[in-house]
This record gives sequence, C-alpha cells and structure tokens, in this order.
Amino acid sequence: MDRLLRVESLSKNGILKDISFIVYKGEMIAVMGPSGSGKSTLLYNVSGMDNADDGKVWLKDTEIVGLSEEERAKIRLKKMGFVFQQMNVLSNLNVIDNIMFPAVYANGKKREKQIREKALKLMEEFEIGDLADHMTNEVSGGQLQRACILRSIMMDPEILFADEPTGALNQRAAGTVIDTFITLNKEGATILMVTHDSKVALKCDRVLYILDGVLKGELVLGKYEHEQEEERQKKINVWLNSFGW
Amino acid sequence: MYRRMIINDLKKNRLVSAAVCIFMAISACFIGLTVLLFASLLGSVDKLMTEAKTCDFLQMHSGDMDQEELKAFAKTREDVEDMLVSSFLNMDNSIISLNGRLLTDSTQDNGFCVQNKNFDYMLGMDNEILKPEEGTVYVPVCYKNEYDLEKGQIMKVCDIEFVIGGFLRDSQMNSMMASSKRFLVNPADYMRLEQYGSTEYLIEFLIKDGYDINAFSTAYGDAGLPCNGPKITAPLIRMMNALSDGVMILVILLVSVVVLIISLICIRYIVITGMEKDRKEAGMLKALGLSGKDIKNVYILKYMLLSLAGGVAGGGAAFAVSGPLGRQMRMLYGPAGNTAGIIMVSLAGIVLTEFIILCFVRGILGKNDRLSAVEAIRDSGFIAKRKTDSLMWISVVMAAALFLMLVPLNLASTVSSGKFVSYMGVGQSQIRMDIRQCDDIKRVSKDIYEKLRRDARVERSALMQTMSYRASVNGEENVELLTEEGNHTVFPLKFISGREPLAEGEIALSMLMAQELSCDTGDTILLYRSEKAESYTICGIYSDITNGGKTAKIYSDPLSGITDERPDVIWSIIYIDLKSGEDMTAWINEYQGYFNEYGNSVKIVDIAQYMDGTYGQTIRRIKLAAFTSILVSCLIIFIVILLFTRLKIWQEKKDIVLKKAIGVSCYHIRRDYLVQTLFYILAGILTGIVMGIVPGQMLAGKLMGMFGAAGFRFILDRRMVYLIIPFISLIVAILGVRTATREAVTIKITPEL
Amino acid sequence: MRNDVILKAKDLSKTFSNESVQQHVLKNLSLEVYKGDFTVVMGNSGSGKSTLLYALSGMDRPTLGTITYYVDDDSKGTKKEEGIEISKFSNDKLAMFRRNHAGFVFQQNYLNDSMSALDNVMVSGLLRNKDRKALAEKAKKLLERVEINERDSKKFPAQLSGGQQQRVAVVRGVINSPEVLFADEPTGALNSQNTTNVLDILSELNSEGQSIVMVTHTLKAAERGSRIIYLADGVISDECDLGEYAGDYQDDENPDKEKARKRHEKLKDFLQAMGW
Repeated sequence: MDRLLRVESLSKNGILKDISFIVYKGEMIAVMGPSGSGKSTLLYNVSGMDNADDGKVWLKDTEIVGLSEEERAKIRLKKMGFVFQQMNVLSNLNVIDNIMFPAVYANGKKREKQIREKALKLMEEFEIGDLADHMTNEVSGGQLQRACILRSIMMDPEILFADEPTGALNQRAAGTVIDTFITLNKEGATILMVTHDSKVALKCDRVLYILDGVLKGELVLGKYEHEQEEERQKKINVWLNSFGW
Repeated sequence: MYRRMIINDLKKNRLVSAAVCIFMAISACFIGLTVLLFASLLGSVDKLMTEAKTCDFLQMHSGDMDQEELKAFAKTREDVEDMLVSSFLNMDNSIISLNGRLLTDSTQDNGFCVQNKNFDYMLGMDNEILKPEEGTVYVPVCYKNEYDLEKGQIMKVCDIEFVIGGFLRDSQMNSMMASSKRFLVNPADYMRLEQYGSTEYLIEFLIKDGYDINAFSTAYGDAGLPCNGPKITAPLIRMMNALSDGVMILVILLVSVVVLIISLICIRYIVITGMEKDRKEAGMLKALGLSGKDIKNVYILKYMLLSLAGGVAGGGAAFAVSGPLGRQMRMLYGPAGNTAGIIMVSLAGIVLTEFIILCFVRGILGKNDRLSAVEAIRDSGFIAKRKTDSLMWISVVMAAALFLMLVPLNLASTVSSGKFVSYMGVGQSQIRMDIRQCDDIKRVSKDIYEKLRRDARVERSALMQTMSYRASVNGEENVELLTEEGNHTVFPLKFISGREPLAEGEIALSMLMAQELSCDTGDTILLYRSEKAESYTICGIYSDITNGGKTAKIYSDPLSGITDERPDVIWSIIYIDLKSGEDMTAWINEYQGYFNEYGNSVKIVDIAQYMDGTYGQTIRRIKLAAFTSILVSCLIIFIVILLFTRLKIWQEKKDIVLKKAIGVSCYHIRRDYLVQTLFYILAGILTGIVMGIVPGQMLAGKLMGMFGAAGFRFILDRRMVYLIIPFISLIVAILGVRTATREAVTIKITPEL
Repeated sequence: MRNDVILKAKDLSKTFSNESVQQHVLKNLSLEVYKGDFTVVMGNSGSGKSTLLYALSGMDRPTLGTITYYVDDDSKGTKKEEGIEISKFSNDKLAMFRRNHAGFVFQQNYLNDSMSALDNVMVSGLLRNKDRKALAEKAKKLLERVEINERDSKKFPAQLSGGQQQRVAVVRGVINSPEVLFADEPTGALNSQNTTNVLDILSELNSEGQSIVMVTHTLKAAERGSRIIYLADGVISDECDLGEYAGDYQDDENPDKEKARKRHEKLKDFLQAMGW
C-alpha cells in the first residue's frame, strides 16, 4: 500500500507528545480520545496549519514541518481538504460560491465556468444540487456540512482532514454526513477524521486513540461493510473501554 | 479590583484605547479653544469698554448743530448721567500716508480727534488715557500690523508731518466693522488740520445704571435733535467689537463641531467593536447576575478614565494654543480681566464636551441590554449590525479630507496666478509703472507716456489716471468716486455685465460700488468733473478688490483728456507689454535709471513682483494654511483608515481563519482587503475632488465676493489638483490599509474555529 | 408534588425563530428537580439539553410554560411554599434572581482575563455579600479546597492550566451558596485528569447538600449523577435513578467497587436503551 502521510515523533507544547503513525492511500482513519486529549491539535499540526515544536510530517515525499508559512499554505490549498465541526463558511458568499472558493482562488477567474460546472455536478451527486444559490444561513446544518465536504474535495486533494464533522449535528444529519465521507472513501479518498462518536469511528478502516497527547493504541477494523456493523460496534466498544473511555 | 480590570483592559487594547483618548482630547481641545478665545474676547472687550468709559448712546451728525439745544435736552432727562460732543475731522484717504503708504486702499473713513474730557477715552496699549504732545499722533492699533508701523515713524497729512507716538485702542471704533477710525492728536494740531478735512460731530451720552438705553434713543429721536448720520448704542458697539474677531472664533467653532462629530462616529465604531469582543465575558457577567445596567457601569468606568486623560490633554493643548491665537485679539482689545472666570468657563466647556461624549458612549453601551445572558454567550447574538458601514465611512472621510486639502490650495493657486489681476479691476499686462505723490503728476505722467510710445520695444501701453470726483446718484449727493480715466481697450478686463467705457458720457462701476449706490447697467449718474455736473450712463460692472472694492472707470484720451481744469490726479499707472523676445529685466532696469530724477515717486515693477508685493503676505498665509491642511488631512486619512480597517479585520476574524486554513496565503488576504477598500478610497477621492472644486468654489466665491471679487472662479493648479494631491491621498490611504492588515498576518488558526 | 421540590418546570416550550425558519427545541416539557439531587441531563446533539438548562436557570426565557422555584427569597419575603415563577421576568429581574439563587459553570470557563483568579471569584461574591473581608476569607477557603493555593489565586487565568481555570470557575459558581448550581458540559474542554478533579469537586459539593443540574454528553461525568434525565427531540424520553448506587467514585480507591460497577452498568444499559 502507498504511504500517503507519515508522522514521526510529532510534539507540540506538552499537548502532543512524540506521536508517530502512518496513513495509507485510500484509508479512512478515525482519531478518538477524550476532550482535551490533543486530537484536534494533532490534526492542525499534521496539516501544517500549526507549527509543531518537534518531529516531522511527510505528505508523500514532501516534509511539511520544516516549510515556511507560505509554502505550507500552498500545500494545504492544493493537496489537502478540510471539514470543521462548526461548518465554517464565508458568510457573504452563497453555497456554491463557497464550494468553489478554494478552486477559484487557486486558478483565478479564467476557469471559473469549468469550476462551477464541477461544483454543480458534485452537488447534484450528493443531493444538494438545488441549494446552489441559497445563502449559507438558509440551509440546514447537515446540508451545509455536506457543502463543506464538497468544498474540501474540489481541488482533488491527496488527503481529507475532518475535525469532529458531526459534532454540531443531530442524529439524522450526522448520518448523511458520515455517508458522504464513506462514499468518498469508496471512491478512493484518503480521510483522517477526528471524532468522539464511536458510531462514526466504527465505519473507519483504523482507529487511533489519543490520551493526554500520547498515542495510546490503534485498532484495525478493515474496510466497512454494512453487515459487520454490530460486530464492529462491539469490537470498538471493548477497545475503547480498555482506555477508560 | 475593578480598577485592576480596567487597567489591564486598557493595556491589552492599547491602540484602540489610545485612539478613543485622542479623539476625546481633540474634541476637548477644539471646543475648549473656542470657549476660551470667545470668553477672552468678551472679557477683553468688556474691560476695554469699561476703562474707556464707552458711551451708551452715540449719534453722528454732519452739518450745523446747536450745542445749547443738546445741553437743554440732557438737563430735562433724569436718565442722562453725562454728555459730550466730540468732533471728528474726516479726511480724504488719499491725502493721508502712514510710513510712506497712502491710505487710499483703506475701506475706512479715517479722521482725527482730540481726547475727550469726561468719557469715551482713547486708551493706549496699557489702557492709559492718552495725551498726545504737539507733533505727535496716536494711530488706531488695527493699523499697526496692516501698515507695518512702529513708534517714531512718520504720518503725513498733505504736507504736515506727525511722529507716531504710539497706538491707541478706540473702544467705539476698534472693530473693523465700524467704518470710521479715529487718530488722536493734540488740540493745537487738530486746529491746524481743520482745513484739510470736513468736520463731523459725535454726540454722546452716558446713561445712568438701571435706565433703558433704547428708551433714551427713542426720546432723542422724538426730540428732533441733530441726527444727520448713523446712531448706535453700547450693546451694538459691544457686539461689533466681539463679532470682528468673533468670525475667526466662529470658524474654530465650526471646525470643533465637525471634529466632535467625527470623533463621535469613530468612538461609536470602536465601542461597538469592543463590546462585540467582550460579548462572551459580558454574557458570563450576566449569568452571574449582573444586570445590564451593572455591566454598563463597569465599562463606562473605563471610558471615564479615558475621557479624563483626554480632557486634560486637550484642555492643556487648548490653553497652550490660545496664547498665540489670541495675540491679535489682545492687541486690539487689551488683556481680559477676570482671568479666573475665563478659565472656569473654559474648563466648564471642556467638561461639558467630555460629558457629551460619555453620555453618547453610555447610550451605545446600552445596546448590551438587548441581549439576554444566553444570547450573549452564544454566537447568535450580535451587537454590531451592518458590515459595509466602515467602508462607507472611509469614502466619506476621504472626500472630506480631499475637500479640506483642495479648497485652501485652490484659493492659493488662484490668488497667485497671473490671471488674478482680472479681479483687481485691471487687464493683464507684463509691467506696471506707478506714479504717485510727486509735483505735477499730470505732466510727469504725460512725459513718461510719450517716451514709451517712442520706444520700439514696447508692444502696447496704456496710461490710467485716477482722480476723485464728486458724484450724485439717485438724488444722493456727495458720493466720492475714485475714478480711473484712460483707454480701457488696450488691456481689456473682464466685465460681469456690460462693457468698458469707450466714449465720453460712459462710466463703468465696480461691483461693490454699484451695490452701494444701488444702481446697475443703464442707470445714469451725475459726475462733477468740473464745476458743472455731467450726466454719465453706466455701461458696465466689473470686479475690483483694490481700494476697498469701490471704484469707477471712464474714458478719456490719455494725452489730451486730462487738462488743468480737472481736479488733481491722485496717481497714475502705466501698463506696459513688451514685444516678445525683449528682455524684460534689462528694460526695467534701464527705465529705472531714467526715473531717478523723480526720486521715489515713480516705481516700475513687473506684474509678478507687484502681485507678490501686494498680496504676497496674503498668498503666503493661504499657502501655509493649505500646507497645514494637507498635513493634517493626511494624518486624519491615515488614522481613520487604519482604525476602520483594523476593526473590519477583527469583525471578519472567522472568515480570515477559514481562508488561512484552506490555504489562502497571507499575501492574498492582505491584498483582498486592499482591493476591497480601494474602490471606496477612490470613490471618496473623486467625490472630494469634485467637492473641492464645485462647492469649494462657491464657498470661496462668497468669501471673495465680500471683498469685491465678482464671479470668482478658481484658477486651478491642474497638476496639484488632479494628480499630486489625489496621488498623495491615495498613497497615505493605502499605507493605512497595509499597516492595518499586518495584523491579519498574525491571526492564528486555532481549534476554536 | 414531593415536598423537596426545589425547581419545577411545567409545559416548557422553546422555539427559535430565524427569519423564515422556526425551530422547536423544547416541546411541552415538564420536570421537577429535587433538593440535594445531582440531576444530570443527557441527550444527543440538538436534543435541547443546553436550551433546557438555560431556561431552567433563568438565563433565557421560555416561549411557553412556567418555571417555578421553591426557595426563600428574603428581598421579597416570599416563603418557599409560594414559589417564585420566573418565566415572565424581565432581563434585569432575571439577573437579580440568578444573582441570588443560581450558580453557573460552563464548558468554557469565561473567566475575565484582566482579573486574578481570586478577583474573578470576588466579583461574583460581591454581588450578594458586601462584607469584603468575610467574602475574601470564604473565597480563599473554597479555592484551597479545590487545590488552588494562595499564590495561584493571585495569578491571571492565562497563567493557570485549563483544569485550574475550571476549578476557579466552579468556586465562582458556588461562592454565593446558590440554591442550585447549573453546569453545562463543565468537563467538555478538559483532559482526563482534570475531568476527574472537577467531577470530584462537584460530587463533594453535592454530598454536602448542593443541588446540581448538569448537562453532559460523557458517561464519566454522567455517572456522578443521582438522577439521569434523557432528552430526545425536545421531550424527556426517560429517567434513570442512580441514587441507590451513590458512593465513592474513584475507581482505584473505591472500597465498594461493586457499587461503582453496578452504577456504571445501569447507566450504560439505560443509555443504550435510549439509543445514545
């Protein structure tokens, strides 16, 4: 399997302590742990949004930690996608413009028409096609989060990061969002997702457990099949319990 | 404990707190200055009028008068405390010269008087009652700066010379609005001067305390006593005294109001953003059980502290600046008594200003009350509403700044332009020769003129001779017309209506003269060029700011027109244009040599030099004002744009963090702000340019109209107005935006998203 | 009605209107809270837990329904039995009420950055107690109890750890001896050790008689409760009584591990049944 992301001895300010792991192409990885354990911080450091104190992170062949602010920004733009818990959008743009934003920024006005077509197609595919011209405060949380996911894949990134994407959603919306991720993963996307919801984690290939900044353990579940749901749930519960979850 | 909280809060938000304090200080400074100057003015005027024992009622009268009648009247009145009749020897301005300069330019009726015995004293610079010796004259203090006078210089009336013994304060005529000015001489000298002027009488009364002056005024009128002239009462005198310098104070007041409004706008923005920043903390305080009012009180303490600092700083500045600004006032009216009272009033003004600002802030803080505790903590509650506000204000500020920069600039460029002469009642020429104050001006002028006509290097020349003719208009006799005779077609000037006089019987009037005589093109007046009255038709009206703005022009052939029968020529001017390619400086030097025999009487200058000599001082003042205005405006632009952009960035923090996360580079984030704001900056600059030209011209036009310049139009320095000033403004504005966006770079992406 | 009811909500409804959209968060909910209980409110995201908390605590007004407190109110001379109904109170009146009867701890401690820890507590205390000296004494004692020593109490929040900050927030919440302490995910932002510390403090206070109403979504915190109320879609799904298993909570030192285990099981089963 291809190594997509390699994290080596990552440390940050007492919040992360010497963390190492690998993400392979096509995997969907869940990162779990109690609040304050450093999960989100891990995400921000691995993606280059924050600057780690120590350690290295390779995205394919490029080492990220040593790069300058501007260089990391470039990598984020072209090779990474982000979905946040709070469904952060640019409030003065409508839904489709939000989705198009990173692509338009990267490519300039020239290819805007093509970008729009692509965005519309994705929106149709994920069943929010008729929301294109709505303003962001006119759509539900689940719909908005799905739009954010689409935004994150517009540039065909190497890897998708998600920080508690269902945290602010109700059951139903959370379900559709997770389904979106699963669909993308089936289509080949590599996803690293922080979550506190075991029902989400059980749908991932692997689960990492972070406790007080330390990587305590790893659970390999393999590719998700619907029939395996109950079994996986049991497995993950037992595993989580062992950490005092 | 709250004290510590406030101090820490101030430390954390240094820039913003400083900005609020500065606005408070500037407001306090301007308003404090206004109050201070005004109170000082009133105080000075009051003191002067008290020490000079100004009369309560003054009736001017020319013609016969029976003193006994007046005395009898006074005796019958129980409200009359004292009475006097003073003589005012009204002189023709053209025969008076101060330190070599004729008073012909003066708009005042200048005359002589002697010191009164009982009241209405002419006071010296220490407010002492003056008693001039023979051969000495005391000059009204307002002329000191105007004619650059010093003690010991010479004042001439025709051939009689006086030594200037000092300067006087005339409580009744000090103000430039009073149209007469009194020079004080010894009684013996007064007698010697009588033949040169015409006597007018000042009939003055002192009314006892508690009695109504207006009642007395009516009674005087009813009694059929001498009243051939204007009358005035003490309250009016006081008002005129106050008003003349009051105009400057009025201007400062206007600026103060504008400054206060701008300050309030900026403070409002700052306070609202501050409240937004502290919203969650305030929400917590609410949860704890503090009511909206309690929270308001906590925050208001911070602003009270800032207003204290601002008030002190601003007040201090006001007091410091009032010194130099009030110098002119103090010279004219003397020092103000009751310094303590003045200081108190000024302090009250400053305190009131800060109080107004604080009330305003309190009102804004009240917006907090809208939110319940929950809404404050959650993200759903927002205090500030509209987001494009800040951009609009940037446009407004840019426009205002441009206006402030351009109007004085345009004024300066207009006055210093060669074309400005058209407002001076004369056409454009390269060189001018002034012939004054010499024996037989008529002959000398003719000689010089003939010489010029023989000089091949001269392209064209025109001899203009000015005399003072009596005229009768609409039944009103004895109007003095300062009339310029000659051929007005050589150097044509612009007319507001009609045209120049081309033949005998035609006369053109300056705008102010026409206004004063209430006549227009087509009317007739009677002109006394000799003993006989001649009928002249008004053929045109022109702009003239010289000689008080009131002049006339008639046609006459330069060589043959002026004969010995006519009254004396007061002065002659010859306008000259040289052929192209001629060396003007050399030519002037050559002719200067020829005129040495005439001594000082003949002066020859090129127009540029002339303009500089006459208006140089004024132009320099205006240019200084323009330069200062540019500096101040640029400062305002920078500060306000920096402020509003910073606030905008803070408001949009979430969006910025998201963009950074996605991978938008800092460079692009900063550039986006610049591009966004640029539109509004440019819109503001454009508006400002238009305003500086159109309404600015109207404003300046009104001002210049008062001096006699009709149809005033800006003569723009195109390069400055359309290129340099907008460019500078743009650079400063961009600098402001760039400095503000530097902060955007430091915003960190944190899990608090 | 039981005679130890301290707070009663009846037919509580809360609807949020955002221009055209209306969200019904609480639907005709009725609830009694008992004195001395550690009441825990759980439910999935969007179930309305926090909204219920804010309504009960007087932080927000409900759209419909009543909320009655059965407490002594000296300022009004109201006796317990009459009950004080707060659902129609103005913002200022609610503030007054909260000042005297309710304490708060939030997930984010919202301590004032510009004041020391001690001052943060004092600000709250001064609202009710004008005697500075006595108040300072009480504050210092309470802070010591939560292991914030004298030196630390003078530090600014930024200089304290997340756990310390939250402990200060708890002290601030109880300094006025409120009848009810309301906590909204108090351990949400803390690591495991700090979570335990804060929960211990809450348990201790409860064992001394402090009524607590706490919203949480973690099992570890919920376990501390004596009564678990489960919300789903704005109504109460069911309740679970853990009172019989009350006792020491520290797993390692727990002499009666059996109790702890049973409590844990009962809660887990209950939550699973709820679909959590």
